[in-house]
Amino acid sequence: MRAMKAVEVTGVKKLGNGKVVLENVDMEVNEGEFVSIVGPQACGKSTLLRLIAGLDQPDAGKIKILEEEVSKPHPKVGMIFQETLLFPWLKIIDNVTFGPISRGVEKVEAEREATKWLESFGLAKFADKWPYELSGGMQRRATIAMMMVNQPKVLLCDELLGGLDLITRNAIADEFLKLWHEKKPTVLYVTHLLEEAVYLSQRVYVMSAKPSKIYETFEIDLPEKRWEVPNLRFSEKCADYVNKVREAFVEAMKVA
Amino acid sequence: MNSTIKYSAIVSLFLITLLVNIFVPDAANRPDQPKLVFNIIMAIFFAAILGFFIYGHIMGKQSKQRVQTVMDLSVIFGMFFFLWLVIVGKLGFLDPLRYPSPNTVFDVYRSDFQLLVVRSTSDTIWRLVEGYVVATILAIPLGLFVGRHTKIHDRVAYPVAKMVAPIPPIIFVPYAIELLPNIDLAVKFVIFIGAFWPIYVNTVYGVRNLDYRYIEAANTLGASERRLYTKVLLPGSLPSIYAGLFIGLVLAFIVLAVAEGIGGSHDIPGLGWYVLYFADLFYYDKIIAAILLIGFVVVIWTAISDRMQDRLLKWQKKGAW
Repeated sequence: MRAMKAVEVTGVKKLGNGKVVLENVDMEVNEGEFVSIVGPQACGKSTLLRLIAGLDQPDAGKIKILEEEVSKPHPKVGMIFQETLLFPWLKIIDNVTFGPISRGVEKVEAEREATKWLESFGLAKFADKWPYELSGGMQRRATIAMMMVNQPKVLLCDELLGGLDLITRNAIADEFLKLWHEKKPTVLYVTHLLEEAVYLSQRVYVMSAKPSKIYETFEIDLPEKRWEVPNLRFSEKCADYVNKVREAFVEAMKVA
Repeated sequence: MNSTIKYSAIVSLFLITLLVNIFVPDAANRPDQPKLVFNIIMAIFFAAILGFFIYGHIMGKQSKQRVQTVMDLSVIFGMFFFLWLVIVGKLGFLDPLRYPSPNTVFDVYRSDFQLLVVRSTSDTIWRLVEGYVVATILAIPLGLFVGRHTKIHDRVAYPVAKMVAPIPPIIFVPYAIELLPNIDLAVKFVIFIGAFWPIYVNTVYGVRNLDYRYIEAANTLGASERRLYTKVLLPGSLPSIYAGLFIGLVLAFIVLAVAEGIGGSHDIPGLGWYVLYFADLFYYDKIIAAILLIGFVVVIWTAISDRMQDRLLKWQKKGAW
Protein backbone atom coordinates (compact mmCIF):
# COMPACT_ATOMS: atom_id res chain seq x y z
CA MET A 1 0.00 0.00 0.00
CA ARG A 2 1.27 3.41 -0.90
CA ALA A 3 1.93 5.59 2.16
CA MET A 4 -0.18 8.71 2.29
CA LYS A 5 1.70 11.90 1.60
CA ALA A 6 1.46 14.10 4.69
CA VAL A 7 3.21 17.13 3.23
CA GLU A 8 3.89 17.86 -0.42
CA VAL A 9 5.69 21.01 -1.45
CA THR A 10 6.13 21.49 -5.20
CA GLY A 11 7.96 24.35 -6.84
CA VAL A 12 7.13 26.79 -4.08
CA LYS A 13 8.30 30.34 -4.49
CA LYS A 14 7.81 33.17 -2.02
CA LEU A 15 8.64 36.84 -2.36
CA GLY A 16 8.90 39.24 0.53
CA ASN A 17 9.68 42.94 0.32
CA GLY A 18 10.56 42.48 -3.35
CA LYS A 19 13.21 39.89 -2.55
CA VAL A 20 13.08 36.18 -3.20
CA VAL A 21 12.66 34.45 0.14
CA LEU A 22 12.04 30.96 -1.20
CA GLU A 23 12.90 29.75 -4.66
CA ASN A 24 11.62 26.55 -6.13
CA VAL A 25 11.36 24.41 -3.01
CA ASP A 26 10.35 20.77 -3.41
CA MET A 27 9.71 18.45 -0.51
CA GLU A 28 7.75 15.30 0.09
CA VAL A 29 7.06 13.85 3.52
CA ASN A 30 5.17 10.63 4.12
CA GLU A 31 2.70 10.19 6.93
CA GLY A 32 4.37 9.40 10.25
CA GLU A 33 7.83 10.54 9.20
CA PHE A 34 10.08 12.71 11.30
CA VAL A 35 12.10 15.08 9.12
CA SER A 36 14.35 17.98 9.98
CA ILE A 37 15.15 21.10 8.03
CA VAL A 38 18.51 22.74 8.67
CA GLY A 39 20.10 25.69 6.96
CA PRO A 40 22.01 28.91 7.53
CA GLN A 41 20.27 31.92 9.02
CA ALA A 42 17.73 33.69 6.87
CA CYS A 43 17.50 30.78 4.41
CA GLY A 44 13.72 30.80 4.67
CA LYS A 45 13.21 27.84 7.02
CA SER A 46 10.63 29.64 9.11
CA THR A 47 8.93 31.06 6.04
CA LEU A 48 8.58 27.58 4.59
CA LEU A 49 7.05 26.35 7.82
CA ARG A 50 4.58 29.24 7.90
CA LEU A 51 3.53 28.46 4.33
CA ILE A 52 2.97 24.81 5.22
CA ALA A 53 0.98 25.92 8.27
CA GLY A 54 -1.28 27.91 5.93
CA LEU A 55 -0.47 31.22 7.62
CA ASP A 56 0.76 32.69 4.37
CA GLN A 57 0.31 31.93 0.66
CA PRO A 58 3.14 31.05 -1.74
CA ASP A 59 3.61 33.26 -4.79
CA ALA A 60 4.05 30.21 -7.00
CA GLY A 61 3.87 26.47 -6.56
CA LYS A 62 1.65 24.23 -4.52
CA ILE A 63 1.49 23.00 -0.95
CA LYS A 64 -0.61 19.99 -0.04
CA ILE A 65 -1.30 18.70 3.44
CA LEU A 66 -2.76 15.19 3.66
CA GLU A 67 -3.37 15.48 -0.08
CA GLU A 68 -5.47 18.61 0.28
CA GLU A 69 -4.27 21.94 -1.00
CA VAL A 70 -3.54 24.45 1.79
CA SER A 71 -5.11 27.88 1.77
CA LYS A 72 -5.69 28.46 5.48
CA PRO A 73 -4.57 26.78 8.72
CA HIS A 74 -5.46 23.10 8.50
CA PRO A 75 -7.21 21.65 11.58
CA LYS A 76 -4.91 18.64 11.55
CA VAL A 77 -1.75 20.73 11.55
CA GLY A 78 -0.19 21.97 14.77
CA MET A 79 2.55 24.54 14.81
CA ILE A 80 5.03 25.26 17.58
CA PHE A 81 6.59 28.65 17.05
CA GLN A 82 10.12 29.75 17.71
CA GLU A 83 10.74 30.01 21.44
CA THR A 84 7.82 29.28 23.68
CA LEU A 85 4.48 30.49 22.63
CA LEU A 86 2.23 29.90 25.51
CA PHE A 87 -0.17 32.80 25.84
CA PRO A 88 1.33 34.57 28.88
CA TRP A 89 -2.10 35.87 30.00
CA LEU A 90 -3.67 32.41 30.19
CA LYS A 91 -3.00 29.87 32.91
CA ILE A 92 -1.28 26.66 31.79
CA ILE A 93 -4.52 24.68 31.74
CA ASP A 94 -6.25 27.40 29.69
CA ASN A 95 -3.36 27.40 27.25
CA VAL A 96 -3.70 23.67 26.73
CA THR A 97 -7.48 23.83 26.33
CA PHE A 98 -7.26 26.78 23.94
CA GLY A 99 -7.15 24.56 20.84
CA PRO A 100 -9.88 22.08 21.80
CA ILE A 101 -12.29 24.81 22.98
CA SER A 102 -11.60 26.78 19.80
CA ARG A 103 -12.62 23.71 17.82
CA GLY A 104 -15.85 23.35 19.76
CA VAL A 105 -15.00 20.80 22.47
CA GLU A 106 -16.94 21.31 25.71
CA LYS A 107 -14.87 23.02 28.42
CA VAL A 108 -15.16 20.13 30.90
CA GLU A 109 -14.17 17.58 28.29
CA ALA A 110 -11.29 19.77 27.06
CA GLU A 111 -9.99 20.18 30.58
CA ARG A 112 -10.13 16.46 31.23
CA GLU A 113 -8.14 15.81 28.06
CA ALA A 114 -5.69 18.62 28.81
CA THR A 115 -5.11 17.35 32.35
CA LYS A 116 -4.22 13.94 30.95
CA TRP A 117 -1.59 15.51 28.73
CA LEU A 118 -0.21 17.69 31.49
CA GLU A 119 0.05 14.63 33.73
CA SER A 120 2.00 12.74 31.10
CA PHE A 121 4.54 15.57 31.10
CA GLY A 122 4.63 15.75 34.89
CA LEU A 123 2.98 19.17 34.75
CA ALA A 124 -0.29 18.40 36.54
CA LYS A 125 0.57 20.52 39.55
CA PHE A 126 1.36 23.50 37.32
CA ALA A 127 -2.07 23.55 35.66
CA ASP A 128 -3.14 26.60 37.65
CA LYS A 129 0.09 28.56 37.21
CA TRP A 130 0.89 31.42 34.86
CA PRO A 131 3.46 30.58 32.16
CA TYR A 132 6.11 32.89 33.63
CA GLU A 133 6.09 30.82 36.82
CA LEU A 134 7.45 27.78 34.92
CA SER A 135 11.05 27.09 33.97
CA GLY A 136 12.04 27.18 30.29
CA GLY A 137 11.93 23.38 30.05
CA MET A 138 8.52 23.18 31.71
CA GLN A 139 7.21 25.84 29.35
CA ARG A 140 8.43 23.83 26.39
CA ARG A 141 6.72 20.69 27.69
CA ALA A 142 3.52 22.64 28.22
CA THR A 143 3.75 23.90 24.64
CA ILE A 144 4.07 20.35 23.36
CA ALA A 145 1.04 19.36 25.46
CA MET A 146 -0.82 22.35 24.05
CA MET A 147 -0.23 21.00 20.53
CA MET A 148 -0.62 17.27 21.16
CA VAL A 149 -4.00 17.68 22.84
CA ASN A 150 -5.39 18.57 19.39
CA GLN A 151 -4.18 15.23 18.02
CA PRO A 152 -2.43 16.78 15.05
CA LYS A 153 -1.57 14.65 12.04
CA VAL A 154 1.23 17.02 11.12
CA LEU A 155 3.34 18.85 13.66
CA LEU A 156 5.51 21.78 12.59
CA CYS A 157 8.22 22.77 15.05
CA ASP A 158 10.27 25.92 14.66
CA GLU A 159 13.28 25.76 16.99
CA LEU A 160 11.28 23.85 19.58
CA LEU A 161 14.25 23.52 21.92
CA GLY A 162 15.96 26.84 21.23
CA GLY A 163 17.33 28.71 24.23
CA LEU A 164 17.42 25.72 26.58
CA ASP A 165 20.47 24.36 28.34
CA LEU A 166 21.96 21.23 26.82
CA ILE A 167 20.79 18.76 29.48
CA THR A 168 17.17 19.94 29.38
CA ARG A 169 17.40 20.03 25.61
CA ASN A 170 18.48 16.42 25.35
CA ALA A 171 15.93 15.29 27.92
CA ILE A 172 13.03 16.95 26.12
CA ALA A 173 14.33 15.69 22.77
CA ASP A 174 14.07 12.12 24.05
CA GLU A 175 10.62 12.73 25.51
CA PHE A 176 9.55 14.18 22.21
CA LEU A 177 10.92 11.18 20.29
CA LYS A 178 9.02 8.77 22.53
CA LEU A 179 5.88 10.77 22.01
CA TRP A 180 6.36 10.72 18.27
CA HIS A 181 6.98 6.98 18.32
CA GLU A 182 3.77 6.45 20.27
CA LYS A 183 1.41 8.77 18.34
CA LYS A 184 3.21 8.86 14.99
CA PRO A 185 2.34 12.36 13.83
CA THR A 186 4.31 13.61 10.87
CA VAL A 187 6.92 15.99 12.24
CA LEU A 188 8.70 18.78 10.38
CA TYR A 189 11.43 20.00 12.65
CA VAL A 190 13.32 23.20 11.95
CA THR A 191 16.56 23.68 13.83
CA HIS A 192 20.01 25.13 13.38
CA LEU A 193 21.68 22.41 15.45
CA LEU A 194 22.89 19.68 13.09
CA GLU A 195 23.45 17.11 15.88
CA GLU A 196 19.88 17.51 17.01
CA ALA A 197 18.53 17.20 13.48
CA VAL A 198 20.47 13.96 12.92
CA TYR A 199 19.59 12.49 16.29
CA LEU A 200 15.88 13.14 15.98
CA SER A 201 14.93 12.59 12.41
CA GLN A 202 14.68 9.98 9.68
CA ARG A 203 15.59 12.50 7.04
CA VAL A 204 17.42 15.82 7.08
CA TYR A 205 16.91 18.53 4.48
CA VAL A 206 19.73 21.03 4.12
CA MET A 207 18.64 24.39 2.73
CA SER A 208 20.87 26.95 1.08
CA ALA A 209 20.42 30.66 1.59
CA LYS A 210 20.90 32.25 -1.83
CA PRO A 211 18.97 30.89 -3.63
CA SER A 212 16.72 29.58 -0.86
CA LYS A 213 15.96 26.02 -1.73
CA ILE A 214 16.61 22.44 -0.70
CA TYR A 215 20.31 21.92 -1.25
CA GLU A 216 20.71 18.31 -0.23
CA THR A 217 18.74 15.53 1.46
CA PHE A 218 20.09 12.89 3.84
CA GLU A 219 18.35 9.69 4.89
CA ILE A 220 19.30 8.89 8.48
CA ASP A 221 19.40 5.20 9.22
CA LEU A 222 19.46 4.91 13.00
CA PRO A 223 17.26 2.67 15.21
CA GLU A 224 13.82 4.16 15.74
CA LYS A 225 13.86 3.86 19.53
CA ARG A 226 16.96 5.98 19.79
CA TRP A 227 16.55 6.72 23.47
CA GLU A 228 17.08 2.99 24.18
CA VAL A 229 20.56 2.94 22.65
CA PRO A 230 23.07 4.11 25.23
CA ASN A 231 25.08 7.14 24.13
CA LEU A 232 23.75 7.04 20.60
CA ARG A 233 24.32 10.77 20.37
CA PHE A 234 28.05 10.21 20.71
CA SER A 235 28.30 7.09 18.54
CA GLU A 236 30.48 6.98 15.47
CA LYS A 237 27.54 6.40 13.17
CA CYS A 238 25.80 9.49 14.47
CA ALA A 239 28.99 11.51 14.15
CA ASP A 240 29.38 10.35 10.55
CA TYR A 241 25.94 11.63 9.66
CA VAL A 242 26.57 14.91 11.42
CA ASN A 243 29.82 15.35 9.48
CA LYS A 244 28.14 14.65 6.17
CA VAL A 245 25.35 17.10 6.94
CA ARG A 246 27.90 19.64 8.11
CA GLU A 247 29.84 19.38 4.84
CA ALA A 248 26.65 19.93 2.87
CA PHE A 249 25.76 22.80 5.17
CA VAL A 250 29.09 24.50 4.55
CA GLU A 251 28.69 23.98 0.81
CA ALA A 252 25.17 25.38 1.00
CA MET A 253 26.50 28.51 2.61
CA LYS A 254 29.00 28.99 -0.21
CA VAL A 255 26.31 28.91 -2.89
CA ALA A 256 25.58 32.56 -3.34
CA MET B 1 9.54 44.79 65.15
CA ASN B 2 11.31 47.71 63.58
CA SER B 3 8.35 48.31 61.28
CA THR B 4 5.96 48.14 64.24
CA ILE B 5 7.69 51.10 65.88
CA LYS B 6 7.73 52.99 62.59
CA TYR B 7 4.06 52.29 61.95
CA SER B 8 3.09 53.26 65.52
CA ALA B 9 4.80 56.61 65.00
CA ILE B 10 2.89 57.12 61.75
CA VAL B 11 -0.43 56.20 63.33
CA SER B 12 0.16 58.55 66.26
CA LEU B 13 0.95 61.45 63.88
CA PHE B 14 -2.76 62.07 63.44
CA LEU B 15 -3.44 61.78 67.14
CA ILE B 16 -0.66 64.29 67.88
CA THR B 17 -2.09 66.68 65.30
CA LEU B 18 -5.50 66.33 66.93
CA LEU B 19 -4.15 66.96 70.44
CA VAL B 20 -2.07 69.92 69.33
CA ASN B 21 -5.15 71.46 67.75
CA ILE B 22 -7.20 71.02 70.91
CA PHE B 23 -4.67 72.08 73.52
CA VAL B 24 -2.31 74.55 71.84
CA PRO B 25 -3.78 78.05 71.56
CA ASP B 26 -4.33 79.57 68.12
CA ALA B 27 -1.95 82.11 66.62
CA ALA B 28 -2.69 85.71 67.50
CA ASN B 29 -3.22 86.74 63.86
CA ARG B 30 -5.98 84.15 63.32
CA PRO B 31 -8.01 83.76 66.51
CA ASP B 32 -11.12 81.64 67.03
CA GLN B 33 -10.58 79.08 64.29
CA PRO B 34 -13.57 76.75 63.92
CA LYS B 35 -11.91 73.50 64.88
CA LEU B 36 -14.69 70.96 64.84
CA VAL B 37 -14.45 69.63 61.25
CA PHE B 38 -10.68 69.38 61.15
CA ASN B 39 -10.68 67.57 64.49
CA ILE B 40 -13.30 65.12 63.32
CA ILE B 41 -11.40 64.40 60.13
CA MET B 42 -8.12 63.89 61.99
CA ALA B 43 -9.95 61.55 64.39
CA ILE B 44 -11.36 59.60 61.43
CA PHE B 45 -7.90 59.34 59.83
CA PHE B 46 -6.46 58.22 63.13
CA ALA B 47 -9.14 55.57 63.65
CA ALA B 48 -8.91 54.32 60.06
CA ILE B 49 -5.14 53.97 60.05
CA LEU B 50 -5.13 52.45 63.50
CA GLY B 51 -7.69 49.95 62.26
CA PHE B 52 -5.52 49.20 59.26
CA PHE B 53 -2.48 48.81 61.46
CA ILE B 54 -4.30 46.26 63.65
CA TYR B 55 -5.65 44.48 60.57
CA GLY B 56 -2.10 44.22 59.24
CA HIS B 57 -1.00 42.66 62.50
CA ILE B 58 -3.77 40.08 62.43
CA MET B 59 -3.30 39.20 58.77
CA GLY B 60 0.49 39.05 59.08
CA LYS B 61 2.65 38.65 56.02
CA GLN B 62 -0.02 38.36 53.37
CA SER B 63 -1.13 41.97 53.82
CA LYS B 64 2.40 43.33 54.17
CA GLN B 65 2.51 45.06 50.80
CA ARG B 66 -0.85 46.75 51.27
CA VAL B 67 -0.07 47.93 54.80
CA GLN B 68 3.23 49.29 53.55
CA THR B 69 1.47 51.33 50.85
CA VAL B 70 -1.09 52.77 53.24
CA MET B 71 1.59 53.64 55.75
CA ASP B 72 3.74 55.34 53.12
CA LEU B 73 0.77 57.47 52.09
CA SER B 74 -0.16 58.19 55.70
CA VAL B 75 3.24 59.51 56.59
CA ILE B 76 3.00 62.06 53.76
CA PHE B 77 -0.52 63.16 54.71
CA GLY B 78 0.19 63.07 58.43
CA MET B 79 3.28 65.26 58.15
CA PHE B 80 1.47 67.61 55.77
CA PHE B 81 -1.48 68.22 58.11
CA PHE B 82 0.73 68.45 61.17
CA LEU B 83 3.14 71.00 59.67
CA TRP B 84 0.31 72.96 58.11
CA LEU B 85 -1.49 73.22 61.43
CA VAL B 86 1.59 74.14 63.45
CA ILE B 87 3.22 76.58 61.04
CA VAL B 88 0.10 78.39 59.91
CA GLY B 89 -2.54 77.82 62.57
CA LYS B 90 -0.53 77.81 65.76
CA LEU B 91 2.63 79.83 65.03
CA GLY B 92 0.89 82.27 62.69
CA PHE B 93 3.48 82.38 59.92
CA LEU B 94 2.46 83.52 56.42
CA ASP B 95 -0.42 85.87 55.69
CA PRO B 96 -3.86 84.66 56.77
CA LEU B 97 -5.70 85.47 53.52
CA ARG B 98 -3.58 83.42 51.11
CA TYR B 99 -2.56 80.77 53.62
CA PRO B 100 -5.60 79.88 55.72
CA SER B 101 -5.16 77.40 58.55
CA PRO B 102 -6.42 73.85 58.12
CA ASN B 103 -9.18 74.60 60.60
CA THR B 104 -10.55 77.39 58.41
CA VAL B 105 -10.22 75.30 55.26
CA PHE B 106 -11.89 72.21 56.63
CA ASP B 107 -14.71 74.29 58.06
CA VAL B 108 -15.68 75.07 54.46
CA TYR B 109 -16.93 71.48 54.22
CA ARG B 110 -19.47 72.39 56.93
CA SER B 111 -20.35 75.93 55.94
CA ASP B 112 -20.53 75.14 52.24
CA PHE B 113 -21.68 71.57 52.66
CA GLN B 114 -24.59 71.71 50.24
CA LEU B 115 -22.84 73.50 47.38
CA LEU B 116 -19.36 72.01 47.63
CA VAL B 117 -19.63 68.56 49.13
CA VAL B 118 -23.05 67.52 47.88
CA ARG B 119 -23.79 69.20 44.58
CA SER B 120 -20.40 70.12 43.11
CA THR B 121 -18.70 66.87 44.03
CA SER B 122 -21.46 64.53 42.98
CA ASP B 123 -22.05 66.38 39.71
CA THR B 124 -18.35 66.33 38.92
CA ILE B 125 -18.03 62.64 39.69
CA TRP B 126 -21.04 61.85 37.51
CA ARG B 127 -19.72 63.86 34.59
CA LEU B 128 -16.39 62.14 34.92
CA VAL B 129 -17.90 58.68 35.19
CA GLU B 130 -20.18 59.16 32.21
CA GLY B 131 -17.69 60.86 29.91
CA TYR B 132 -14.84 58.57 30.85
CA VAL B 133 -16.80 55.33 30.87
CA VAL B 134 -18.39 56.05 27.50
CA ALA B 135 -14.93 56.89 26.12
CA THR B 136 -13.55 53.61 27.47
CA ILE B 137 -16.42 51.52 26.16
CA LEU B 138 -16.04 52.97 22.66
CA ALA B 139 -12.27 53.38 22.48
CA ILE B 140 -11.21 49.87 23.47
CA PRO B 141 -13.28 47.84 20.96
CA LEU B 142 -12.58 50.35 18.20
CA GLY B 143 -8.88 50.31 19.04
CA LEU B 144 -8.79 46.51 18.98
CA PHE B 145 -10.57 46.43 15.63
CA VAL B 146 -8.37 49.06 14.00
CA GLY B 147 -5.24 47.49 15.48
CA ARG B 148 -6.23 44.16 14.00
CA HIS B 149 -6.89 45.48 10.48
CA THR B 150 -3.67 46.90 9.12
CA LYS B 151 -5.22 48.35 5.97
CA ILE B 152 -7.95 50.25 7.82
CA HIS B 153 -5.34 51.47 10.27
CA ASP B 154 -2.84 52.64 7.67
CA ARG B 155 -5.25 54.21 5.20
CA VAL B 156 -8.01 55.65 7.38
CA ALA B 157 -7.65 55.42 11.11
CA TYR B 158 -4.05 56.51 11.49
CA PRO B 159 -4.25 59.60 9.25
CA VAL B 160 -7.50 60.68 10.92
CA ALA B 161 -6.18 60.09 14.42
CA LYS B 162 -2.99 61.91 13.60
CA MET B 163 -4.98 64.96 12.55
CA VAL B 164 -7.65 64.97 15.23
CA ALA B 165 -6.00 63.55 18.34
CA PRO B 166 -3.48 66.37 18.91
CA ILE B 167 -6.21 69.05 18.94
CA PRO B 168 -6.48 70.07 22.60
CA PRO B 169 -9.94 68.95 23.71
CA ILE B 170 -10.35 72.15 25.72
CA ILE B 171 -10.81 74.25 22.58
CA PHE B 172 -14.00 72.32 21.84
CA VAL B 173 -15.61 73.63 25.03
CA PRO B 174 -17.17 76.90 23.78
CA TYR B 175 -18.44 75.26 20.61
CA ALA B 176 -19.78 72.21 22.44
CA ILE B 177 -21.65 74.48 24.85
CA GLU B 178 -23.13 76.31 21.88
CA LEU B 179 -24.10 73.18 19.95
CA LEU B 180 -25.28 70.78 22.61
CA PRO B 181 -28.65 71.23 24.35
CA ASN B 182 -27.20 71.83 27.81
CA ILE B 183 -23.92 72.62 29.49
CA ASP B 184 -23.84 69.40 31.45
CA LEU B 185 -23.84 67.43 28.22
CA ALA B 186 -21.20 69.72 26.73
CA VAL B 187 -18.89 69.11 29.68
CA LYS B 188 -19.42 65.34 29.41
CA PHE B 189 -18.74 65.53 25.70
CA VAL B 190 -15.36 67.23 26.07
CA ILE B 191 -14.40 64.83 28.87
CA PHE B 192 -15.26 62.06 26.45
CA ILE B 193 -13.07 63.59 23.73
CA GLY B 194 -10.24 64.15 26.19
CA ALA B 195 -10.27 60.59 27.48
CA PHE B 196 -11.07 58.88 24.17
CA TRP B 197 -7.87 59.52 22.22
CA PRO B 198 -5.30 58.33 24.71
CA ILE B 199 -7.30 55.16 25.41
CA TYR B 200 -7.90 54.53 21.72
CA VAL B 201 -4.32 55.22 20.60
CA ASN B 202 -2.88 53.02 23.34
CA THR B 203 -5.26 50.19 22.51
CA VAL B 204 -4.25 50.28 18.84
CA TYR B 205 -0.62 50.47 19.89
CA GLY B 206 -1.12 47.51 22.24
CA VAL B 207 -2.55 45.31 19.49
CA ARG B 208 0.02 46.31 16.91
CA ASN B 209 2.86 45.69 19.33
CA LEU B 210 1.55 42.27 20.20
CA ASP B 211 3.87 39.59 18.85
CA TYR B 212 2.10 38.53 15.63
CA ARG B 213 2.94 34.93 16.42
CA TYR B 214 0.31 34.96 19.17
CA ILE B 215 -2.29 35.75 16.53
CA GLU B 216 -0.88 33.12 14.20
CA ALA B 217 -0.78 30.58 17.01
CA ALA B 218 -4.44 31.30 17.74
CA ASN B 219 -5.19 30.87 14.02
CA THR B 220 -3.46 27.51 13.77
CA LEU B 221 -5.35 26.40 16.88
CA GLY B 222 -8.60 27.20 15.09
CA ALA B 223 -9.72 30.20 17.13
CA SER B 224 -12.76 32.04 15.84
CA GLU B 225 -12.54 35.79 15.31
CA ARG B 226 -14.52 36.37 18.50
CA ARG B 227 -12.22 34.15 20.51
CA LEU B 228 -9.23 35.89 18.99
CA TYR B 229 -10.53 39.24 20.28
CA THR B 230 -11.49 38.10 23.77
CA LYS B 231 -8.68 35.64 24.51
CA VAL B 232 -5.74 37.09 22.60
CA LEU B 233 -6.04 40.69 21.43
CA LEU B 234 -7.76 42.17 24.50
CA PRO B 235 -5.68 40.50 27.23
CA GLY B 236 -2.50 40.86 25.19
CA SER B 237 -2.90 44.61 24.79
CA LEU B 238 -4.19 45.21 28.32
CA PRO B 239 -0.90 46.56 29.71
CA SER B 240 -0.90 49.21 27.00
CA ILE B 241 -4.62 49.88 27.44
CA TYR B 242 -4.01 50.56 31.11
CA ALA B 243 -1.37 53.14 30.25
CA GLY B 244 -3.98 54.81 28.02
CA LEU B 245 -6.65 54.66 30.71
CA PHE B 246 -4.38 56.51 33.11
CA ILE B 247 -3.43 59.25 30.65
CA GLY B 248 -7.10 59.45 29.68
CA LEU B 249 -8.07 60.00 33.30
CA VAL B 250 -5.53 62.77 33.78
CA LEU B 251 -6.70 64.50 30.60
CA ALA B 252 -10.33 64.02 31.59
CA PHE B 253 -9.68 65.82 34.87
CA ILE B 254 -7.90 68.71 33.19
CA VAL B 255 -10.61 69.11 30.59
CA LEU B 256 -13.30 68.77 33.22
CA ALA B 257 -11.90 71.58 35.35
CA VAL B 258 -11.63 73.97 32.42
CA ALA B 259 -14.98 73.03 30.91
CA GLU B 260 -16.75 73.46 34.23
CA GLY B 261 -14.97 76.76 34.72
CA ILE B 262 -16.24 78.06 31.41
CA GLY B 263 -19.74 76.61 31.53
CA GLY B 264 -20.50 76.29 35.22
CA SER B 265 -22.66 78.47 37.46
CA HIS B 266 -24.46 78.22 40.79
CA ASP B 267 -27.13 76.22 38.98
CA ILE B 268 -24.63 73.97 37.23
CA PRO B 269 -21.98 73.49 39.90
CA GLY B 270 -18.89 71.31 39.85
CA LEU B 271 -15.52 71.14 41.56
CA GLY B 272 -13.72 72.79 38.64
CA TRP B 273 -16.26 75.58 38.52
CA TYR B 274 -16.11 75.99 42.31
CA VAL B 275 -12.35 76.55 42.32
CA LEU B 276 -12.33 79.00 39.41
CA TYR B 277 -15.37 80.90 40.64
CA PHE B 278 -14.05 81.47 44.17
CA ALA B 279 -10.57 82.25 42.88
CA ASP B 280 -12.05 85.38 41.33
CA LEU B 281 -13.51 86.30 44.72
CA PHE B 282 -10.27 85.62 46.70
CA TYR B 283 -11.81 82.89 48.88
CA TYR B 284 -8.61 80.94 49.25
CA ASP B 285 -9.97 78.74 52.02
CA LYS B 286 -12.69 77.53 49.66
CA ILE B 287 -10.22 76.97 46.86
CA ILE B 288 -7.95 74.85 49.02
CA ALA B 289 -10.93 72.92 50.38
CA ALA B 290 -12.05 72.13 46.82
CA ILE B 291 -8.55 71.20 45.68
CA LEU B 292 -8.20 68.78 48.59
CA LEU B 293 -11.55 67.29 47.69
CA ILE B 294 -10.47 66.83 44.06
CA GLY B 295 -7.30 65.18 45.32
CA PHE B 296 -9.39 62.88 47.46
CA VAL B 297 -11.60 61.90 44.51
CA VAL B 298 -8.51 61.17 42.39
CA VAL B 299 -6.94 59.06 45.14
CA ILE B 300 -10.09 56.95 45.56
CA TRP B 301 -10.51 56.59 41.80
CA THR B 302 -6.92 55.49 41.16
CA ALA B 303 -7.00 53.17 44.16
CA ILE B 304 -9.98 51.34 42.65
CA SER B 305 -8.43 51.20 39.20
CA ASP B 306 -5.08 50.01 40.60
CA ARG B 307 -6.80 47.16 42.37
CA MET B 308 -8.53 46.17 39.12
CA GLN B 309 -5.27 46.45 37.22
CA ASP B 310 -3.43 44.23 39.69
CA ARG B 311 -6.11 41.61 39.36
CA LEU B 312 -6.26 41.68 35.56
CA LEU B 313 -2.52 41.79 35.02
CA LYS B 314 -1.57 39.05 37.45
CA TRP B 315 -0.03 37.15 34.56
CA GLN B 316 2.73 39.70 34.18
CA LYS B 317 5.96 38.89 35.91
CA LYS B 318 6.50 41.42 38.67
CA GLY B 319 9.68 42.87 40.07
CA ALA B 320 11.65 42.96 36.84
CA TRP B 321 13.76 45.65 38.35
